[in-house]
Amino acid sequence: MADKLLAVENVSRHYKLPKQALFRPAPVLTAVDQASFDLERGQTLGIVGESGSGKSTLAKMVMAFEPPDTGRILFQGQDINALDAGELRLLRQDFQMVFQDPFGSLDPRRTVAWSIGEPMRAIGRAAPAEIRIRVAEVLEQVGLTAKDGLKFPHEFSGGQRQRIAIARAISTRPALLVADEAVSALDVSVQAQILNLLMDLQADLGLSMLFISHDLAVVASICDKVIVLQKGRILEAGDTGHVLGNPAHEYTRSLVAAARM
Amino acid sequence: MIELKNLSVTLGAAAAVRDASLSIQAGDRLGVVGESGCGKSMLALSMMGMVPDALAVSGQITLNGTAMPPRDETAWRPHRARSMAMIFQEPMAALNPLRRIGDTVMEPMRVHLGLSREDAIKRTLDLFAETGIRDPELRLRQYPHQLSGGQRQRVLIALALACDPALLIADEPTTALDANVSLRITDLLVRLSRQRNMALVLISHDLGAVARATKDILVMYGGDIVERGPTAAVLAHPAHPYTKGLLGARPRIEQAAGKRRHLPTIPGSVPGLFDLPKGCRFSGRCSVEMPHCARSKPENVNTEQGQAACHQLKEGHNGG
Ligand SMILES: Nc1ncnc2c1ncn2[C@@H]1O[C@H](COP(=O)(O)OP(=O)(O)OP(=O)(O)O)[C@@H](O)[C@H]1O
Ligand SMILES: Nc1ncnc2c1ncn2[C@@H]1O[C@H](COP(=O)(O)OP(=O)(O)O)[C@@H](O)[C@H]1O
Ligand code: SF4
Ligand SMILES: [Mg+2]
Ligand SMILES: [Mg+2]
Repeated sequence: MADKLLAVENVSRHYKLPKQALFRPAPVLTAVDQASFDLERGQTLGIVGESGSGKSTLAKMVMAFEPPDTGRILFQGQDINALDAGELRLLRQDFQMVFQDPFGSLDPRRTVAWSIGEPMRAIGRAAPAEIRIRVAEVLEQVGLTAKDGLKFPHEFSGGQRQRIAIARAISTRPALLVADEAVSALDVSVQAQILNLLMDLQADLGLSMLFISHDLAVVASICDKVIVLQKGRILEAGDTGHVLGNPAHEYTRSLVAAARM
Repeated sequence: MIELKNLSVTLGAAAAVRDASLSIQAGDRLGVVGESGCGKSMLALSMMGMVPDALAVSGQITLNGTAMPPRDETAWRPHRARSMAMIFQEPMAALNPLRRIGDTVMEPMRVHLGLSREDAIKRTLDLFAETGIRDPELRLRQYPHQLSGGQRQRVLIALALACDPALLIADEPTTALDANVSLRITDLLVRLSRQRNMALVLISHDLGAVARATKDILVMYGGDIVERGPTAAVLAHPAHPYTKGLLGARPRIEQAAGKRRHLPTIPGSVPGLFDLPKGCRFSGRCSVEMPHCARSKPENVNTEQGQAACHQLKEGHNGG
């Protein structure tokens, strides 16, 4: 048996839409519909699909930012929605997230070192001196210097800010990194640098990754496995080379064709 | 139609665009590529007479045979919307959040073409149909935030087309959109350019979109046009080390397929305006740099495909 880090079982998520008529019930949008998949330790799983297909909704549930309406999410065998607040806070050091817009996750008025130390402070286990040492360590791991920690976010380029966001995410030594469109806003040259960094960190730290992107070429270059979402449903899943090389569905074929141009 | 000669856009001693020359005729489709901060938007704004006041413009701009002062609102205003129109990089910035979509799109038709409200509505509905906007009558009455990213981008295209411009400049029109939507919008721009014999300038850092949509290409780095020529030929056989670097860094779906192999990269990032090297702007990041590159600016030489500016290239053949 492979070492299962994450198991997503029959997960759905519904959103109520605004009422359109007074006496009719509000319509409901199914953002994720009965999705199931596993993620093994050290593996990278890509999630692809058009805009609105449910990728970020799935990520929010895996991160326990939102509960699923049906199904369960098991992280290291524990149902993350059955934990109390304290247990969940402790478990959070094991899964971290990187977003598309690093500006959103970095406080413009705080030094970079302060922002990187934030997840560690939130868990509340490490002493300030320990945090300082760890911040310097992760800055170097992502190709910056300890001194860069004294600067503010606006002093960095988009690519460097994404490195800072990654430093912050790996600061708690997580087992799982969820990256939602983490390289989508970057120039190809910088994007290649960040993808290489993620591959290195993964090899060095044994990270597992859930890698969300609408760019199939990017997914192809970093993911071992891939799932294709359409309207909240998993249409196909499997080894990246296989799924993208011989897509079984017309929808996947159209995504692959768009990525080839 | 429009011609730039030795155009520079400067901020004090620093140049956001340096010595750019180009000429665009009806029906041309020109791609402009390069990393962000390389001067693509500034080049575009200078063709609209809209360079921000903080920067100085020098060189010549000729529009339909008339020399244009680089920044004289009264000279440019009558030409905007009709001679040239632009789709700006930030869709939300171009649409007033408090105004209905229909009112925004109809305004230039009423101002520049003098259409009545009824005629403007009719023309707007036609444009919405042409740009693939579904439920056009509903959209007229909606506000920008009620549309998805792809729909907003189509509205901006409709707005830019409102007065049938001879030249359409699209600045990163699909950067924020997913691959399928981006493909449809790129194809739409090409179709409109063909049908109307409209010249198209497509600015993008998506090399795939530029390859698909344009006939000629300009590659910009640090404010310089470093390579130019027919799009297909330049992308198949790039001569300039920067063009090669950009193409190499692009992940390729057919090669990668789950292999997790390092991608080639261009080391470092584009320096700020005031930190650019004086000679070849690409020195400091170039893998085939020579000792004199940082000091001496390379001249344009003819390559098999077009022109490029690099000390490695000798007149007539491409040294890489
Ligand atoms: N908080 C919410 N309230 C209502 N609807 C929502 C909410 N969040 C997401 N949705 C809807 O759920 C669907 C899936 O959205 P999601 O953000 O997961 O898409 P995505 O695949 O991440 O798309 P993108 O590529 O554009 O980021 C969409 O139709 C979206 O409008
Ligand atoms: N309003 C402005 N004032 C001063 N400098 C600017 C302004 N707008 C852009 N710049 C600078 O000009 C250079 C080129 O910018 P831009 O044309 O927007 O690049 P691109 O469109 O290729 O990303 C950059 O160094 C940028 O920081
Ligand atoms: S001139 Fe020199 S630094 Fe510039 S691109 Fe050519 S070899 Fe590289
Ligand atoms: Mg999303
Ligand atoms: Mg720009």
